[in-house]
Amino acid sequence: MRSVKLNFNGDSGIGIDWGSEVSGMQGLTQKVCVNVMTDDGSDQVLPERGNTAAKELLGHGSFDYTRIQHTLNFAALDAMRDIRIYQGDLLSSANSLKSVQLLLVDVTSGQATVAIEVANTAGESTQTVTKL
Amino acid sequence: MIDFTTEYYPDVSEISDEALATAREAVVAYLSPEFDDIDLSPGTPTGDLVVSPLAAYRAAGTVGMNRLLSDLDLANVADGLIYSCDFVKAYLGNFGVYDVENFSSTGVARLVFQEPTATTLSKAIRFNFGTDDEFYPKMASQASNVTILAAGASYDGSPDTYVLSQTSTSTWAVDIPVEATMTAPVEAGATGTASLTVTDLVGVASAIDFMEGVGPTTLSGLAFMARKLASALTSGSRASMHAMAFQNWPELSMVSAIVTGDSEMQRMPASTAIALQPPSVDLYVRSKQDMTLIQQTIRMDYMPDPEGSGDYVFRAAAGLLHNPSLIDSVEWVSSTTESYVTSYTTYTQSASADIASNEHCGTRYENLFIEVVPVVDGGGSPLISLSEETVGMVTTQYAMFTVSYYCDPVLTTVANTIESPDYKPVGVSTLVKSGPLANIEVLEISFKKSRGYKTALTAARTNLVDYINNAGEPQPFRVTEIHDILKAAGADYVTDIYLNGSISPTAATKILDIAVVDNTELWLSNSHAVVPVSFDGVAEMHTSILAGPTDSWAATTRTLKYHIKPANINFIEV
Repeated sequence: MRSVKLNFNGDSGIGIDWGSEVSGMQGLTQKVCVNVMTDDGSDQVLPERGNTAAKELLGHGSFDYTRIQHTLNFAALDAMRDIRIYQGDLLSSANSLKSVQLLLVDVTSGQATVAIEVANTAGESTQTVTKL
Repeated sequence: MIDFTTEYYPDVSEISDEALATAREAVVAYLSPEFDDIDLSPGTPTGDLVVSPLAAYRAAGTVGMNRLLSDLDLANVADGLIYSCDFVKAYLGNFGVYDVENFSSTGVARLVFQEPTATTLSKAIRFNFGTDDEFYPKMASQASNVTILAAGASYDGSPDTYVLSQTSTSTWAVDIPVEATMTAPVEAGATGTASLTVTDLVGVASAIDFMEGVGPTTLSGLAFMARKLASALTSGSRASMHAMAFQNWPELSMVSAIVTGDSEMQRMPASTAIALQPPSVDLYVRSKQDMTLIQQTIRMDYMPDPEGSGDYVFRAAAGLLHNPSLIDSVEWVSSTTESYVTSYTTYTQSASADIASNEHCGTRYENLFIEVVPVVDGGGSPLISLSEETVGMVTTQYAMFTVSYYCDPVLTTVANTIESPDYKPVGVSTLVKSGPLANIEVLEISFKKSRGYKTALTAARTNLVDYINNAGEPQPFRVTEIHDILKAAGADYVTDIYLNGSISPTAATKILDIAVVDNTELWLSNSHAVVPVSFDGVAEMHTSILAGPTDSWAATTRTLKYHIKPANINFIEV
């Protein structure tokens, strides 16, 4: 499965690299990242997609690591749901999504640094650190 | 050109979530076989930035197509569900159904001549009635001329043919249908001009308030008409006659086709027992101008009573401009308050062998004759001043009389088209009639109202007259409408409705059984009476008509028309 490559550029946002493509585990990880960062209801065509993690993280003035991790756990489940619903027969293929985990690394200046761990059914896994 | 996307596509925000999701699945299902190595799922650039917008467009297209299919289904349009008015207008045009801007207006031009002789009128002639619009003869055939027969001639059944009628001592007139796209109203009596010189033509005027040709003003109404037309594309059917009449004269208030086999069909019986009854259609119509009161001046010759009574009478072939439904009065033209007429008798005779028992109901084939018994002085001389005319060695005494009669001035226009060979169904004898007239002499309405409430009885009287004088198939007279009008005027409820009057198929009182040559025949001895069907009693709620038995003047709910004068309505508060 091929996909256009996205560049996650930290504070400057996400860019599309139309000249490059990703596939396999890289493509799956990229898709998980996008789904994790998709706000609930922001997709006009599929309004049920997305999660409320960013809203909940930004909506509180004080930080409670347990609460934030709890929120991230739900966001991981939502991302898995969104991918599996639209993967169809990919569920049976070797690089189908097996699990997603979001781990809170740090919280500074109102942003949460999160590690996204993605594993597929072939036993491969990746870890990406990003900010929410 | 209609922009399909603009007219029919919804905004994306109007599309349901379910429709969007379904459309996305459809796009993916369509593209996947061809692009099986590209990830089209959400969360990928292709999925989010290409497939999802495509899905929205597809969903909008599906909604737009459903809307177009709905507009194509005239059942939906007739119910008022319309997505693109522009498209539906153009679509209805394919059925010959246009909105008001495209209808021709119809009117009746009265041409006044100084001689009673036959003439012709080129169809290229144009009439102007003080507006910018030029009216031309409404032709029912391909003839190049309108034929005008001499005064006294009988209508011969030819299309676009009219008979001159005397309107004063030295003028004769004929009413002919005209049409145009009317941009300004033309009212009855407007003076007109003709574009061509016509021998002996001395005046042009509008005979009626010209009809605007306004039919259904809503697209749903037009769609309803189109559906009727579409179902009527069989020659000679009841529906096709209805559709044709309504399409040509959308303002008709009554259209009812009686066909062979209907109990109301009153034609001459087949000559032998084994002969088949020929296919026939009697089209009963009344326009909104029906029961217009016309006053026409005619000349009547003074002569000894041919019956030998020793008295003198005035006699004439009436030669009225339009066939009357009801004659209101016959009076010496110079009388003011005092009547100079003791009595008058009207005789009817058919110019067609196909009309049973002279049940003309306003057809063009009815010839009327009038006999007046004048008021005389002690010496037996009439109080009416006599004029004299000498032709050769013969001197005739005469006087001018005013005949006041109710008629439908549009009926001849309709008959000229419907009865013409170009329009009537092939092989079908077609007659246009105005219907036997149920003339209501008394309408007494008893009602209750709450104390302190005011009732608008003047308005109720106007509404009742308007309703009754326009009732007719396909909206026949209903007693319940009287209840509704009274309740709308403030009454609590109606307790009782009493009616009396009579139904007659002709304005005449007697049917002549002999040919008339010079008005000196024994009319009374050779005639029999027209016996109107009387109705007299309380109208129950379930009574829908005032009709007599079907073998009496073909009077049923499908043929009857009604007339009442405002003064004949009485209200009784109980």
